[in-house]
Parts: sequence; C-alpha cells; structure tokens
Amino acid sequence: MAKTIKRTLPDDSFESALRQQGYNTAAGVDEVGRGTLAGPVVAGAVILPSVLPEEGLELIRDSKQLTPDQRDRAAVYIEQHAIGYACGAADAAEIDKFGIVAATRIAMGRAIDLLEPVPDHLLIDALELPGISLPQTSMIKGDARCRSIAAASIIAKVTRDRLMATVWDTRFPGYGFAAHKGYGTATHLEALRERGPVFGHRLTFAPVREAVAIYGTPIGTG
Amino acid sequence: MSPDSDGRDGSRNSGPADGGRGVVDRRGEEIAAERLSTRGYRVIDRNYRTREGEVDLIAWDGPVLTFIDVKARRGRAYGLPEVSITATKSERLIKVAYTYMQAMETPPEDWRIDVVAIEFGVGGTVRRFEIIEGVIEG
Repeated sequence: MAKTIKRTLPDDSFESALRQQGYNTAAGVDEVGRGTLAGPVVAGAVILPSVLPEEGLELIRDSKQLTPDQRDRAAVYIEQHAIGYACGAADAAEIDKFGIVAATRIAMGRAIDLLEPVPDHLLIDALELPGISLPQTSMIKGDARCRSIAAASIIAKVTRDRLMATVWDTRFPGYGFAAHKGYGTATHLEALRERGPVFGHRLTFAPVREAVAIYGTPIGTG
Repeated sequence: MSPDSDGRDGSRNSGPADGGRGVVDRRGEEIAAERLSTRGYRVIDRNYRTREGEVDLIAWDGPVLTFIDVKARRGRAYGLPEVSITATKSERLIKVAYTYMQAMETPPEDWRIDVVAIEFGVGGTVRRFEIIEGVIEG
C-alpha cells in the first residue's frame, strides 16, 4: 500500500528544542474519529518526560501503523511513563451543530483542560487552537513526526475504540459498534437502514438523514 | 485572515478571466489526475467546491477516499510542499472533505488528504512529480 511515504519513528526533537527554550511540560495533542457516522470525536493530550525506557518506546508511533494489540500495549506504556495524559470528546450533536473542525477544537480543549500538570506549550497535529492562550506549534503529519503527538493519537484511539466497543455496543446492540466503531462499513449502513438511527448518529450524514426520514429523529435518553 | 501561501489566490499564475484558476494549476490537475490513475487511484471528482474552499481531486485509493491538493509550480518549488500547507489550509481541506463525505450515499471507512507536488521545467516538461500521502489522515 505504501507507495511514496517514508515512514520513520516520531522522535522528541520538537520537545527537546522546547526544553531548551524553557518549556518543560509541552503536551502533544491529536484527535480520532473525525470521519465516522456515529459517536464522538475524541482528542488526546499527553506530556512525556525527557527520558523514557527504551523497551516499548518503538510502539509510540502513528496509531494507524499499530495493530489493536500493539496500541493497547502502547497505551499502557504511556499511562505508566507519561507526566500527564487526558482525553476529551465532542459528541455527535456538537459536530452537527458546529462542524467537524470546531468540534475537534472543543474536544482538544477539553483534553487540555483535564491535563495535569497544566502544559506550558502545545504541539498539535494539523490544527491551530486560537481559543487557547498557550503557546503552540501546529504541524502536518504530527503523529508521524512528534513523539508526544503520536502518544496523544494512541491514547485518543484506544479510548474511543473502547468507548464504542463497550458503552455503545451494549447500549445499541445489533449495530456492530464493537467492530466498526461508527465508521461507514457495509454492516453499519445496513443496520442503519434496518434498525434506524440512534442517539449519537451524526444527523448531517446522508445515510443517517435518510434513516431519520423513515424512522424519525432519535431522542437521547441521557 | 492571512492569505494562503500556495499561490491559489491566483496572483501568481492566472488572470482574472478564468476565475483565479491559472494555466499552471489546470495543467497540474490534469497531469495529477492522469498519473494518479496510472498508479491505481480511481478519480471520482474534480474541483469540488464548497463555501469553505475547494479540493482539486477526489479519488479512491483502494478502500481509502483520498482528497488531493495539487500544488503545481513553474520553476523551483518553495521548500517541501507538505510543509507549505498552513494550518489555515489544512483546516479548510478538512472542512471540504467532511462536507463531501456527509453528502455521500456510502461514506468511506477511511479517508485522508494527499498533496501532489508538480514542478514544471522549461517548455512545460514535468521536472518533478511527487505524491505525499496522508498529509492529513482521517
């Protein structure tokens, strides 16, 4: 599949450069779940120490390059060794109302708010966060280049996948959320047609709108 | 809002007659579509425009829906094209991509944004053609 991409491990060159400028608690920030038909967009924020154990460090990379099992092990590594980590989410209603980019910013802001200690700098994948008054650096392909952003992407991915596989799958049996996590698979689209939308489907997506036209708007149960 | 650094404001490549779309841009898109097809991409849309902005090409790369920003330049490119994507530009591309997916009958399981960098040499030859995959990932 990889055609022209050069894949290298993300390193801590951004974090090191920031330490030299006196920023010792820079946080990596990334999101997951932007392209799904259902469920929240989840952001992770992670502050890593300057020294990390070698064993397991190779797992801290772009979460898409890892198997689910590797991601789980990477998450344990981050939980054990990070100075701080947190996740935040924005739900389907917020995504429908404010748009995907604004909702992603909301999720990122929530993750940063929950982070202990308070970060002194933000390293963010792709986006800028104009609403947050911390110094920040945005970069393209952040999860492949910057270790803290890679760690944030892993924490976000593992958290979102677990949420969909547990809470969502239990609450809405028969939709296959444990398997597809809200993405537009054939199984998911079929369930949508046969069972109708649930509270938490993104109503701005065409297949969801069509299901709403037949079954009506799903109502939240809190 | 600060202007984009990708020349798409039309100031470098085009006159006003074609709505800000320059000859270099259009030729770049044609060449990109052609070469991406050869490499197995299936192009399904071109110049998709919304209120938020525009994406040059939309294609399936296997099961992955790919939104492609073509950066065509005459003469030397200015640094790495992936670096020249500003946060403002990536925000706009994400919004356009999301709007497109919302309208799809069958939304993709996976999507990403690629950049194609084309550098034209003397006489319109293609001096450089590069696909940078997954500049932004879904």
